[in-house]
Amino acid sequence: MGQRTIIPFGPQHPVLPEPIHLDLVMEDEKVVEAIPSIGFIHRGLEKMAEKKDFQEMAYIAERICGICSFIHSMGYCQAIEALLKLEIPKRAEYLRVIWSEMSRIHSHLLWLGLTADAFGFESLFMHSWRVREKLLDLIEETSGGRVIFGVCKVGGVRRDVDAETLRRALEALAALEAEYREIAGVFSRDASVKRRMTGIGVLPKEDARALGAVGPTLRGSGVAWDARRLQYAVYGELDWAPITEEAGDCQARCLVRIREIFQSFDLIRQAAGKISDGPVAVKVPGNPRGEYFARLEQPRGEVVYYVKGNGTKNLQRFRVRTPTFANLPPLLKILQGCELSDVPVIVLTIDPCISCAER
Amino acid sequence: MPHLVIAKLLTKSAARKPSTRLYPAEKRAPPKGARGRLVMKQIETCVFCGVCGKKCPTRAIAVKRTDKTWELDRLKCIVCGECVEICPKDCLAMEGEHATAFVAKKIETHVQKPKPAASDPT
Repeated sequence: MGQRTIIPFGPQHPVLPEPIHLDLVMEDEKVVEAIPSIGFIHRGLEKMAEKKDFQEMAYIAERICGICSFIHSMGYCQAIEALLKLEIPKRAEYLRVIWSEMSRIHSHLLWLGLTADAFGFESLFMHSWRVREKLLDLIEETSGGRVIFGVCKVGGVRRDVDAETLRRALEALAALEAEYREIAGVFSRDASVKRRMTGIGVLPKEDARALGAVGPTLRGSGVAWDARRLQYAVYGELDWAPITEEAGDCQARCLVRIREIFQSFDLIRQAAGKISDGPVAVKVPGNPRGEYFARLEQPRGEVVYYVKGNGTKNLQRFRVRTPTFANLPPLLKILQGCELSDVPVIVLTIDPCISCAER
Repeated sequence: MPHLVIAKLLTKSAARKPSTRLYPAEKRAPPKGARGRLVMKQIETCVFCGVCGKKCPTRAIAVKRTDKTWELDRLKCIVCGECVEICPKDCLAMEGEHATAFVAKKIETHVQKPKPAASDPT
């Protein structure tokens, strides 16, 4: 046994978009154990539910994360709507699906860029973000905001998208898909990318299940679970199936995300084809009472929203279990036995969103 | 394993105009419907009902009926547009161009000028 040393990784590190600290226990160049510490950016957003009106809370829920913002507000609104036994209009459900899939594409493109940057492929990083920028423009055109959409509210959505804007958005998305296909080809075929990711950070199927991995981390290990299969919103009416890869390594997790972007393009097209005319919101009757768990699929995995209302305009308790929090135990497992130089890529393949995890 | 798969993409990229703009010299026109910044369009028609202030999720708007003033703390405003939707007199508007950076905290105050006295019909 070689001499053990501890190398601190983070909270400030060039590959980390957000602060998380890992103490890497090393034996020569091999990581024996990773000890995490979190809590650098806790903002107390859950506590604010006790002070804010439950309808205004949708804006705060959206600000839990700057990347998967829309699905956060959607999850919160779905939980409140379930407590109020509120049936929201079909058009609003379809618009929510379109926006959440746009949000998934933009999050995955951001991740692809960051990962390319992590293994030192800077031009690929720039190209991923170039495509993402065009998608942000589309998001701005349809919802009014670039990253914080601000369109989801309890009882539906705040803004309708007219047929002309939707048609233009679909055309632009088709052009974007063609551009994205070139970038996806580099990620899935290029030798230098494969060398950094194939066979690195393997998470076997059993471990993925046992450690509670979610999202692409779980599906990259061959488990076909996606919270969209719960058929919330209108996912039950669309034709899709969870994307899985068997290898369980960094490349598999990357391929899951690459294929999910194509799937999201398809889901947007399907939703836009099936959307019907009608109102986009209903009036909110009274205040929420009772408890509810809402489960949704975020770009990073399954998010769980717990709300407890006591019949007043403030919630009694609001709690979010975010996908990054669930993906930390699998991360610690896959870091064991890896090379020090692979740590940045492995950490990024779970798509860590620390502001989500700490709220 | 194929090497330099990115070559095609790079060649295309080299032949094309830059994807970036020389911001701030060259600015992008905001898309229609973008929420950039809240503006008080016409203080003259405001009736100081205060609904915008009550509806504001961050309490960025303060309306004083007695002084006939409408105040906005732009650093608190999250540009959600609730006030624009609710305004009964359509005085508020959302501009696509976003607000510029600040160097000091400041409250924007709009004061309604007293209406000219009605001319004596006699």
